[in-house]
Amino acid sequence: MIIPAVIAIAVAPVYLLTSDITWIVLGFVVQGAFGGGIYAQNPSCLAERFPTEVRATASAFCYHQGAIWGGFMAPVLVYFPSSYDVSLAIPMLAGTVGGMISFTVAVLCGPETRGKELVPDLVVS
Amino acid sequence: MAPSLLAGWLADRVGRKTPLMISILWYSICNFIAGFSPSFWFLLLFRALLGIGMGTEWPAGAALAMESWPARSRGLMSGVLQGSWGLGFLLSSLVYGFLYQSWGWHGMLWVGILPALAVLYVRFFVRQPAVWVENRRRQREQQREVRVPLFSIFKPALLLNTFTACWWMASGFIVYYSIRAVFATHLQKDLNLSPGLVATPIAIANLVVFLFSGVWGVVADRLGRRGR
Repeated sequence: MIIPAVIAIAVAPVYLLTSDITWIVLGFVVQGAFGGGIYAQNPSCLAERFPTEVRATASAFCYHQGAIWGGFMAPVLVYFPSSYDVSLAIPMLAGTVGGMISFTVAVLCGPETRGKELVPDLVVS
Repeated sequence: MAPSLLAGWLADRVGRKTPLMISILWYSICNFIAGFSPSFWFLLLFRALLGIGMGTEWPAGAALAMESWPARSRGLMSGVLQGSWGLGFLLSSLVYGFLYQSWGWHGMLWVGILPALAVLYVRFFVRQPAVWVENRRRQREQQREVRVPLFSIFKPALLLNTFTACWWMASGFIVYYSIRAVFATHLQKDLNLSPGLVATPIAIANLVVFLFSGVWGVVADRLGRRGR
């Protein structure tokens, strides 16, 4: 997940710091491959990180608390152009780059779970 | 958030299939009823109720799919599962493009009943994952029941894991909104592009999201989930 996240940082300015429609379309579509691809391991990695007893609850909690933080972003993004003389592109760029750096560090702090067998062992309690 | 935690609890205690079927039925029916809306407030109410069903589907469905799939290619399946949101957006824009003129918004919402068919499939052809069944049996047998999983994930042994997972998810959602939430507004307001021109890159990007989620899934199976 780190590979697409890091590439996405480089792709973001391509379509955000231009008014050329060709670069916007091209950049945004390419961002689909990288920025849009970082979620590919959400189901597998969340499932592999938590024991069977609590797996669905843990996934639900981690995922949906994340959605709440994300939900705050829309008003934050709109706040800047309404209060300062900047276009929406600037907060979008800052959010993408900052978010991706945070994403990368969070993933590095978490465990590597590739190839982990999901087992029925009792782990909790 | 509360409904999704309830779904997670049901999935851990009663089985992965139950909340999955309830949530699919729930949002399909809400969509269908919303299609008969006589007023704006009626529509708003049922679309809001629909959101509850959407949020509860993921934890049960993801656990079910990941437990049922072998470890060696689980990353690929994960990518296909998660990337399908791009495919869903693409399908909905196609439905809009082809049917909106003739069916109107009522018809659009009625189409939303179709996922209910998936409930029949889950009910009759999908099994509870063997891992979950065996785990549940051992919990009963050894009388070591985990009655409130939501508390258990904050126990010392799991706390750090829970915290970094939450941080990872929050960052992902912040990026998601930064890229997509106001992109259409940015193009229309800052660059004065027409709505038709705006829809094109978004639709293509959705397809790319789906395809590349599969690609990153393969990468994750080869190089690791963290991708290095």
